[in-house]
Amino acid sequence: MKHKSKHFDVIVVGAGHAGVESVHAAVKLKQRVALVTLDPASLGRMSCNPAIGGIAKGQLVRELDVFGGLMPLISDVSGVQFKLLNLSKGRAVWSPRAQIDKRVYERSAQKALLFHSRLKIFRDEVINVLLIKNKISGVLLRTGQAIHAPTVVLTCGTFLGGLVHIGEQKIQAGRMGEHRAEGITEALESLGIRSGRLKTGTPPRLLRASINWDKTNAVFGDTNPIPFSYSTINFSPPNLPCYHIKTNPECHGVIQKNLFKSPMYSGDITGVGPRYCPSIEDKIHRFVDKESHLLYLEPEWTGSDQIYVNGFSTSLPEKIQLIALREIPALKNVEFLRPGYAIEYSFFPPAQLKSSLESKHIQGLFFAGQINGTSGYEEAAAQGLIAGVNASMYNKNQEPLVLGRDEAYIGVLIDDLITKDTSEPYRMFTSRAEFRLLLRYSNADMRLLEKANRFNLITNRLYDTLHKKLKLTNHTIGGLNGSLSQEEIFNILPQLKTKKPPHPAPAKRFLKRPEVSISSIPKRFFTELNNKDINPLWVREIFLEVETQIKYEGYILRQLKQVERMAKQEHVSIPHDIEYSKINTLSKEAREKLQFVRPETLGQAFRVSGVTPADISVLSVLIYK
Amino acid sequence: MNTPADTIVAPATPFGFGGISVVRLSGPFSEKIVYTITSLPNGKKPLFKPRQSTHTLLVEKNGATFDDGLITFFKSPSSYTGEDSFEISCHGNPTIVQKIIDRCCEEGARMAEPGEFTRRSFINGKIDLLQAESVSSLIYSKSCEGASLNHKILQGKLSKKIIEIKEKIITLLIMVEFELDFSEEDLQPDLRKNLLSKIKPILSEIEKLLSTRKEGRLLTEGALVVITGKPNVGKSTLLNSLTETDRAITSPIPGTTRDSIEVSLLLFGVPVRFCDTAGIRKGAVDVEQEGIRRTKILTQKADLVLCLYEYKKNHTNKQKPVDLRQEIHIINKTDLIMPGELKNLKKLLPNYVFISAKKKDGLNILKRKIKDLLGISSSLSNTFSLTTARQRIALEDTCNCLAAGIKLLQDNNFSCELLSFELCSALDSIDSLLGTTAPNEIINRVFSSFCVGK
Ligand SMILES: Nc1nc2c(ncn2[C@@H]2O[C@H](COP(=O)(O)OP(=O)(O)OP(=O)(O)O)[C@@H](O)[C@H]2O)c(=O)[nH]1
Ligand SMILES: [Mg+2]
Repeated sequence: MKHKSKHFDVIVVGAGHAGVESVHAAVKLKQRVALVTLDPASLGRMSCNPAIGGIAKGQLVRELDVFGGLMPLISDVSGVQFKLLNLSKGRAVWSPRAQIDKRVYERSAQKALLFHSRLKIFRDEVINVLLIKNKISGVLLRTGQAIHAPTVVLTCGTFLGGLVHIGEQKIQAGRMGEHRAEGITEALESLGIRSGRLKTGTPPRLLRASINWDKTNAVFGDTNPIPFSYSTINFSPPNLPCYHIKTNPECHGVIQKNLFKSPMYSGDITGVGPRYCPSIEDKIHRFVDKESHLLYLEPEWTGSDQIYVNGFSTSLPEKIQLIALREIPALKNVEFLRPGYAIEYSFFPPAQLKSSLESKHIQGLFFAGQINGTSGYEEAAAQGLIAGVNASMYNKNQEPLVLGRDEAYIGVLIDDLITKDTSEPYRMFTSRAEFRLLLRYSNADMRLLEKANRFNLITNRLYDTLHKKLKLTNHTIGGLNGSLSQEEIFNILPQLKTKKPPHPAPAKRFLKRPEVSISSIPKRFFTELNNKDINPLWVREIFLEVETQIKYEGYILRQLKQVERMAKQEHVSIPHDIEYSKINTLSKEAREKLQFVRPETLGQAFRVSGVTPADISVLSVLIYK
Repeated sequence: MNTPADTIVAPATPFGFGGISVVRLSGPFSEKIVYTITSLPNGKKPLFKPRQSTHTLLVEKNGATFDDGLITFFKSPSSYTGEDSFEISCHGNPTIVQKIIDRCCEEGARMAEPGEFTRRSFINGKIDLLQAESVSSLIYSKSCEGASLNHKILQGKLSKKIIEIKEKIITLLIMVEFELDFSEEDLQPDLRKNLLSKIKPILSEIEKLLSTRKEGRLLTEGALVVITGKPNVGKSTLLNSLTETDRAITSPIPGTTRDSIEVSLLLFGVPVRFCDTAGIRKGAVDVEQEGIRRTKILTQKADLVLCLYEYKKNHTNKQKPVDLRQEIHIINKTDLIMPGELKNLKKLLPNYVFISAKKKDGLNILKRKIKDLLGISSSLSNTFSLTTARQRIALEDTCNCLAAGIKLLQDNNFSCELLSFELCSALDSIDSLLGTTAPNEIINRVFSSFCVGK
């Protein structure tokens, strides 16, 4: 399709991970999309560490996959080491993670999108938004041209108004070496949208040849890896190692001595940094007792000269960084390709958004990704997908795609964003999900398949096969109601032999015992799983889900009860004309916060930070009146 | 202020009998209503001043006096509910209390819903949630109704204790969540031992708190004391003597009492409900049998059972006391026993109390024993204790979750996430008493307690 005019259905601004998923979702929903980016060659670039997934993030990626996201597919293609994390801690927190070849990743993303017939790319920068009353109608580009669409998705958040700090040195920049996004912040502020500042750090990049690899610890991934995407078949990715090294007291000493040179301590940086990803100077300052911190050396792509030092993000002067690292035996002669640095940037507190990610102020304007104060590729991608879908739904005049906290990590993510104060970059954790036991990576299909289908985000073929997979899972669970013979019971639990002989009993009951695993249940219960039609990669997951659903049955039921309890107030909508400032029985803080956030439901109000249960009861009494 | 338009009335003291009962009235029309139902002894209408008590007569619509009482006026906003309110103290008799409520309703008040005073107080910003207990309890809890000042202080102490426990659970949860979200290595070797050593004391602390429930209940609901024994041993006579009434019919014919009769009495400041029952014997006819069935249920509910026996010549100590903490064994009709024989008997049966219900002999000794066994002590009002069933249920749930957590920790296939679930559930139950802990509160605490991040 040729775009003769400058009129589109959706304009996506920014081609990071949020932008990519937005575009991908919107074109899939048959929207004509304009993508505005300064550098199409950096579409889908992994700007920070070369990994996708990890604890809680792996679950996000799986969920994206059910909704037809791009990230899971290209991660499977570009992964060089796959690992399921948290194996010893319980199956709901098992989290897939992959070490990625950055180059392959961005190439795959570009291949998937750049030449899409419904997409037109503008190599330009947005400097303002165009409005008709309080509805968006397009954007104004730096080159002077205007493009038009009823919806705009802003994902241009990679270091908006970025200010880089290396020691006392300050550089105005986006990512190091990249152009800095400007203009849009002031334009949005003038429309009454509030902005804030955040801070994050990145570690230095080392020259591969300058590292003494003999003094590092090679760590490999799983030998029997699982892919992120349900669509991936014939999965046999490489298994390249990462390398561990440890900091030591000498290294700490150097940092301690030079703390005052860090802009974080000199007061030069005012933005708030993420506490979950502290700089090395933070770690050493706050946890004096720890003699050593683990660092990971991660190659950024296959054959890369550039090594990422995960765990050593810092804004100390370059020289100090170097001296400190050279105290570590493996890095005795290390050379930098690029020092670590801290970066301050602007964002728009997402409490100003609806659960569809649409602005509460301006109709048709959506926000996704780092611009909302999140960190991480996966968090950005998840929002990008939701914003892309919902911009399309907006155009089609249909209900938006909104996921519940009990349905998906994506739901938790967005609900947190729109109700909580963002005082530091937001990253996903499993403990943010109060219904964690329900949100397993292994049941993402079960949780989300129907919704994905309803929103036309999944191909019919994948839907059908996943549907079959779920039926098979349920069927297998049902089959385990069948009884085990006395002999079979003895085989599983030989210790029972000494006691009086057990009666034949349902296999399920034995599987519930902590010491019995599904592999010890007789094969005859699983004959259906030998079916040639199912993806062999799935069989393992069916086993896992069957086992989990049986072993966790009691817990799952209890968790569902909690969901039910939450649901009672969750969907009670709050009249949008409510004047919080006039309800003087609300606490002062609640009045201010609620007035700013203007939650859509009582459930959301409950989670607004600073709002106490007492405030909620006042609200509910008023609403029910 | 969100002042509801109507005026509500309800009894503020839980018991019909015993010295004084209080009726509470709150709302914009309360002054007008009280004005209408009272009159001064000299026939004039009284004038109520805030925070002052006025002695008045309580009068019917036609002007006839039905009782007298002490009336205290609390002017808005300096009242419990924040509205104009009155407290009417009258004689402790349920009929009178009902009469006052009826009169108020005749004049335009309406009977308060359970918890409505507290809800109004809360909406008007007079109390915070901790005092009002949790959101849902606003609707169900009665404990704030008619709470004396003393009672409120007790509540505050209790909250403090529960907050302490909650803090301890959160500390555990932080360790567990750190393990789940940040530590990519295997479980720290000491974690289990460490957690176990911390979780056990919390459990016993809650168990201790749960045991105070009995005292708390005594103060608010009163104790139930049931009198049992074979027909004709003098149960009904004892009830009448103890309560100085003649509510129960007595007769020399065995099987006189067919159904239980209850009489309340203030015993050393604690309301006690004494309950007479149908005597249990073999071969009883149908009606009696039903009475006997009820007796059995009653004794199970009782805080204390008075087992009454009649002296027979060669009385053997056949009926071994089952649980001396919940039963008092009594030999009645001592007036029929020869003094010498009685002396022997007392030596023979040292755990028994000897009385004559008819002659009111030995009743004071019995009353003191009842007091001791019910745990009524002068220090009772100085300790904090659980008062409502909701508090008990919440803490029992907490206990169950912690116990399940301990079981998980002792299992070889220990699962950190399930432990987290049990701890979160424990926290949930506690939160139903205190207000909610947001999941992000925990994660924020993890950040500040551990060195997280690679
Ligand atoms: N001499 C004497 N007679 C008593 C005493 N207590 C009760 N009696 C008499 O014993 C008879 C039975 O007394 P009740 O109080 O009706 O006995 P009860 O245990 O309630 O009997 P049921 O209701 O039939 O089970 C009555 O005639 C009482 O007057 C006592 O202390 N001394
Ligand atoms: Mg009787």
